[in-house]
Amino acid sequence: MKSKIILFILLGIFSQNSFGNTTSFDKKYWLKLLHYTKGESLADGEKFFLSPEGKTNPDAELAATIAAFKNPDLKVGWFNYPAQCVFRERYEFLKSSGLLNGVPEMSCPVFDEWIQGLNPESISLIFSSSYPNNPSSLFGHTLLRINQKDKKNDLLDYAVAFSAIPEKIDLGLVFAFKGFFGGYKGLFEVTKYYTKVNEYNNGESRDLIEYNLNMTPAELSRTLNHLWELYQTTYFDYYFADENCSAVLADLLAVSYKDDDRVNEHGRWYYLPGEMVKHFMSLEGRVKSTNYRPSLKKQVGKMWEKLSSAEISQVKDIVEMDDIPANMTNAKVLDAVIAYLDFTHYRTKEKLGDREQKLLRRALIKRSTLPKAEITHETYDKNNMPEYSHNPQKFTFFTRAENHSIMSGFELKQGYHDLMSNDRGYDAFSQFDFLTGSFLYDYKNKKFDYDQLTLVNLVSLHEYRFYDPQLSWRAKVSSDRIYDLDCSLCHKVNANAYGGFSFKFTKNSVFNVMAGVFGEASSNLRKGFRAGPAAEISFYTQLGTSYKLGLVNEIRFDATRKIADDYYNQIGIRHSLFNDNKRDYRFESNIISRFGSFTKNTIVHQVTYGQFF
Amino acid sequence: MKSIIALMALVATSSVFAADSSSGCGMGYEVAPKQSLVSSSTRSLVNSTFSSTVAMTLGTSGCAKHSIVKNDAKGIHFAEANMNVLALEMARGNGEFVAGFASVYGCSDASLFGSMVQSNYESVLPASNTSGVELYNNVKAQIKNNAALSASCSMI
Repeated sequence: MKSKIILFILLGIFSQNSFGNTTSFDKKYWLKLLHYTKGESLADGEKFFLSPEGKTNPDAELAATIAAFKNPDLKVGWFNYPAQCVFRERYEFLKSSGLLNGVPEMSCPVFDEWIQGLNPESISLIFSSSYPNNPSSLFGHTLLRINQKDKKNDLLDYAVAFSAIPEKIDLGLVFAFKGFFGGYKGLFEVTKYYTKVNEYNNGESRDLIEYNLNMTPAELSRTLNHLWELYQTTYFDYYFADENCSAVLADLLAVSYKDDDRVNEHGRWYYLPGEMVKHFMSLEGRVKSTNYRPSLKKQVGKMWEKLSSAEISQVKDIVEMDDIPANMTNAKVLDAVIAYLDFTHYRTKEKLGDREQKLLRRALIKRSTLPKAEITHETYDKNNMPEYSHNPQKFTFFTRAENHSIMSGFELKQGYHDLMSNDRGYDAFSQFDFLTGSFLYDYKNKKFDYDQLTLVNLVSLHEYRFYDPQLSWRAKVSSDRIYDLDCSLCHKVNANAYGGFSFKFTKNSVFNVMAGVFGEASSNLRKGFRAGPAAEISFYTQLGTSYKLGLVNEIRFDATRKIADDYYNQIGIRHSLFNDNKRDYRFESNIISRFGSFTKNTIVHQVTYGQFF
Repeated sequence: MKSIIALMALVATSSVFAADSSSGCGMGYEVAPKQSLVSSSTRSLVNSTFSSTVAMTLGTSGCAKHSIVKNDAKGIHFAEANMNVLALEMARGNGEFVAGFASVYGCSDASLFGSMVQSNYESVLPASNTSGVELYNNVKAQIKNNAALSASCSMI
């Protein structure tokens, strides 16, 4: 009964304070501290709430929090510390709001030790670029770095990462399902920054771009106090789309910058790491400076560029012959041998073989007898920072001529980037399109229908290099039009996967040769399906800063038919013009030809205007 | 037809998001279960297995993990986590990780430290499989042997 009266009185104070504006109680901030969105907290750890109703009732949580702060014997959180020592930011906030008058302040040695260890001065937002070999990391990653006072070296700082922690390794469907619909817990982790540099820069060859944030001592203190209470008490259900590393870090930073509601704003149904940094760059005064750490692959590439062709031959000879000449005094060559072996180790994700291990050791010992390496500071093309990237969603209008039919339509793309788009802010010549649908009206036949539905269309092009001998590949699942049969506006379900090689003759162009298999299903096909081998040859180039050209020829053999030479071929030329990252204009012509049991040609010309949003 | 589309969708989704052990974010992010302080299956490649000397987790539950590296273990943790890159940079005599390594001994002259580890390469890293603890102790012994360098190193 007594506790109910206290609760009633506290609720009264809260309501009066928050709505009557009689004191400085900032209810909006209280809701930020509880991670409320749409009337419910996103925090899912039950220890985060001191009231059983805390997840949905912030007033009850306030009353319970105040009561807990008054009770020094009450131990809370995963590690059973007094409430004042667990909920550090709630405590500071309620104290400054005048709601804890007369409550004795407790000492919190564990928290103090933690802060002392962090030795914090400021925070950086770190963006890790996408991991080109791994579709599940195509969107990049974000984390925070707590910069130490008087530091000489960023590596020794602490990193704060929020990531999904599967309790067991799930494969394929289970993983995709859980990722989208819930099933993984997301947790904060504080670890040395060098482990992250090793993991991303070296282990996965991803660039790290560091955005140093402007932060006052009060803002910094709020960040760390709140971070502490989060990982003393809670996890968040992890959703790939909108409750991921970026969304949760943005909510943490919304506590830091408590009066700036723009910090964790995002209007899309998903929230991408690149968008988070873009958003922060758009908030005036938030980012103080930026720094760039090139991936190991880029570092090795840079090293390679500085070698003469004679030196490259020497490197190859050493690696292939397993022999370092006794009179070798060229540090550049030895550095390249070492870099090659080191990169191979990371690239293949396997320990080096005995032979390579011994060669590396010999090269290192030899290298240690030569003069010191010059320290090189790689300059990054500041024009290509992720904040300059186009938005991921796109709306496109098009008009098309298919032989003698004129059609108009529109396309809605949920994401993300394609080969003909402006590459600024993205990896050049990369593609990951998903959830795209287009609809059209055929003026001649007076028919409205869908044109194409794409679930995923992924292209991963890797220049084939001596130090990085990787295959390129592409995969697509879609429902496309059938052009090579005698039916109008008819469709097929298509899946194809190709692998092959890419070569670069200049920095801005790539030539690709791929082969693979395809499968198609449609009621318009005699057997209902066809499948077989396929091949594609393509060339893409960017000329200047606003024009891209693409040439593609794809051929598919239908292995399900008795006539072995039944095949169809599509040859196309694509132009894309863009002046900024908001829109592009494209012109595309394709000839789809059918050979074998009968012959047919369909010529398609198309003009499009696309707007990113 | 609908069932075919659904099937295709599932196949595509599962292959695109086929589990791997890398770290990323956004849609399709997966991290393998963490095996130790900073290692998961990918991480164990880049950060060698940590010795019990650096079991520095202050508190661990089923979920939360945090650690503040104590001074005395700082160097060992650094050496263990960065063995690969240290082996490379020490042979070259400088680099960001060598400078970081100098800092964990409190050495203010990273250049002098870099020269020392380069010229004593085989002493501090006697074999390819030298452990982080050994590396840490070997370097410490070499600093002590070097009067000019040890004068600039506050942790020695």
